[in-house]
Amino acid sequence: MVIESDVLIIGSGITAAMVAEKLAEERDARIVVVEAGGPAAPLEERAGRRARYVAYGENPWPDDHVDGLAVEGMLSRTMQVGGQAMRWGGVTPRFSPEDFRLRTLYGVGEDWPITYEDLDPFYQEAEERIGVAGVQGPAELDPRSKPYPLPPLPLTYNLEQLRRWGEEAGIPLWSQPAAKASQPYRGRPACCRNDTCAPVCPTGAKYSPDFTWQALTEAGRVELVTRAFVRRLVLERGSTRVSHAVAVNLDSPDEQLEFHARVFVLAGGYLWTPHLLLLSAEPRFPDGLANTSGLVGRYMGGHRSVHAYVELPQKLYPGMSLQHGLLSKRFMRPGPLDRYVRHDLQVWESTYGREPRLRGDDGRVLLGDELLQDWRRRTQTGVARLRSYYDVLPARASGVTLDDARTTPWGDPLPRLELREAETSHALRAHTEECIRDVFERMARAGGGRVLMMRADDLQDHPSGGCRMGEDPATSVCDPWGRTHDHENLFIAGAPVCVTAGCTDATLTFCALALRTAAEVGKEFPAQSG
Amino acid sequence: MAGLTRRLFLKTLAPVVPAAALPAAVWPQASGREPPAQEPLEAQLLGALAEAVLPLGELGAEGVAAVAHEFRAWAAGYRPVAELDHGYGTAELRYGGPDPVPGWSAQLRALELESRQRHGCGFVELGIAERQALVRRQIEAEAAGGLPAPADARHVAVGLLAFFYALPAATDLCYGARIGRLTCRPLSDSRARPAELVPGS
Repeated sequence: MVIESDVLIIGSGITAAMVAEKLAEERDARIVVVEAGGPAAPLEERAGRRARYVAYGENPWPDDHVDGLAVEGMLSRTMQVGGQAMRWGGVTPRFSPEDFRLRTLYGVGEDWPITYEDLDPFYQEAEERIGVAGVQGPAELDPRSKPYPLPPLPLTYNLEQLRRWGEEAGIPLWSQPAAKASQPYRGRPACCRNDTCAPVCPTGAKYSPDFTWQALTEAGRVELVTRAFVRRLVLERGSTRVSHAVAVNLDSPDEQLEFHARVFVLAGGYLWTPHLLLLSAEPRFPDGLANTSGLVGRYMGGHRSVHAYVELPQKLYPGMSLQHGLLSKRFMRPGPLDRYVRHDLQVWESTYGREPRLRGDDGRVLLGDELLQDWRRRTQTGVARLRSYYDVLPARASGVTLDDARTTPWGDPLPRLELREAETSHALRAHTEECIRDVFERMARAGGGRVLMMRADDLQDHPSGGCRMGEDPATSVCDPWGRTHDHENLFIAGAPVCVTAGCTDATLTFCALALRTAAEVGKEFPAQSG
Repeated sequence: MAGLTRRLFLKTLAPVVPAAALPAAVWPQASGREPPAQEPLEAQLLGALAEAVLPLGELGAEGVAAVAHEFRAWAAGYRPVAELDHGYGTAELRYGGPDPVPGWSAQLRALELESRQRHGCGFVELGIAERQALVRRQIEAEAAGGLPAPADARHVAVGLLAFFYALPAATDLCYGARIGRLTCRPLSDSRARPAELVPGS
């Protein structure tokens, strides 16, 4: 079966949704989107599915994976229409200007070929398309050229206490920007603090890509093909342009699908995009498509974190909004440094150490009123959760290769994911984590509290890279707009084009990059007439 | 603090929807699994257990009965080996355990039998302290510290406690305030300290 289009987008997560929506609005182009997973549960089922998640821990997005595609080290098995953003927490800070100039400013990592100022209009566009509620922090810490499209989620009583605590410690904290409607927005209702944003918002107040796909498919602007896993890209004979994508129909594996298009946009994320390029090797590109540089699947990394729980002398009421918090960029914009360390800071209310328990301090089993009284006695003081992300600079070898030992159900090598940090990053780790611990301890003292627990995690969150952008084809996979150096009609959107991972949640940055790529893709087609 | 009423409990139990309340289309038809049919937990024994382990003095008899009723309904709605939320940071898919109700039912009957062996009367006829003593003896090995997820509890008493203390109403009772955890609440109401819980409201 052959499916023709002007633009084929591979993947249907949040970056694919950004690309598709922008192209559909602005350009006269036939757009097909191909997704390996199946459709997500519709909005009208969410309340019931959420109820079963709350009551029984059941997956509110059942069957949101494809069998046979488990990869060690991957952060999520989710593979469905909308991708991981169907279950994301919706926290949407921007990177700081420094994130794009690490080598120039600090002598570590690499500079991006674009600046924060280049990305600013696309950040704004992403925030408007998603509906991000936020407030600008102090301008010197949180630069932006226009206001957020939605007012911030109001600080709960708890968060206001914690914000003041931060002030006492000399750290400005403000409402986290979030993809949660603080007032009705584009058909989505205002948030009402159901507080299960991750993994499921029962009302649709939190943005998820299914809203975009529903609008686009109902308007006939996009054709969405699901349950089709793209196995390789094929080049035109005698040309380096991509001719078509070959996919397997998961519901009828003997059926091969071919997607022919003028332009191809890979929006499969950090793992599956480089994997597809590597799988698509052919005699002219024996190391995989777009891989003349040898950097497909390379220089991939994320941000690690340090967590702490701090007991504070004031009474808090956990449950007002556990999934909304405070953000500070104070440590993302540190000014001149003797030794590189940058991190964000996010603060939430917490129930850590304040849960009901079965045994008292004397070891006796508590029952009846005793158990409740024990719980009440232990909740007279509050607890805050602190987390700081810091960027991990990747080694060249860090990322995705083809696994010789494990295959997909269709016989292709699965990706092998191995994240390794650069020596400079490894040498900075202890210093970075110590600095973060100092911040947490200082905050605890300033608030008259104490640290209950503190730990550093090895997990690298929001991994990106693998198809880094750059001006020089010898040291990058795509140009600053996401167009691959090797194939003029092949673009990469979102996470894989990142040069460094930043030190805060990265999804909004992935979206901004994807919109920038879409702007470039759009130049191939006439403007939408109306 | 005087008790929460049955009305308030039922109001705050909105997140807990018994299986029967879900439309058939929500069930995973592709897997061919149907809602389970099973014997529910014995109501009278469960009610007696609830009086022993739940905060009877604060909830009152009516509040305790309401919780026992909802726990029974919750247990009846459990789907064995359901796909669980697979979380983030892992490629693992997770599935729930077997139906805990048969084992829990046997434990309720065991409480009844032990009561007759030790005291010559049924569990329901014992005083609260004597019921608690029997329960303590049975859960001593399980009571490690914190409360597990209700379906993971090995003993029905622990399951009941875990169920209750996971309720938004329990949090409100602990803090003496209408927090309404996990319920839909206007953003505009979030700035103020949660209203104090008024007895009998």
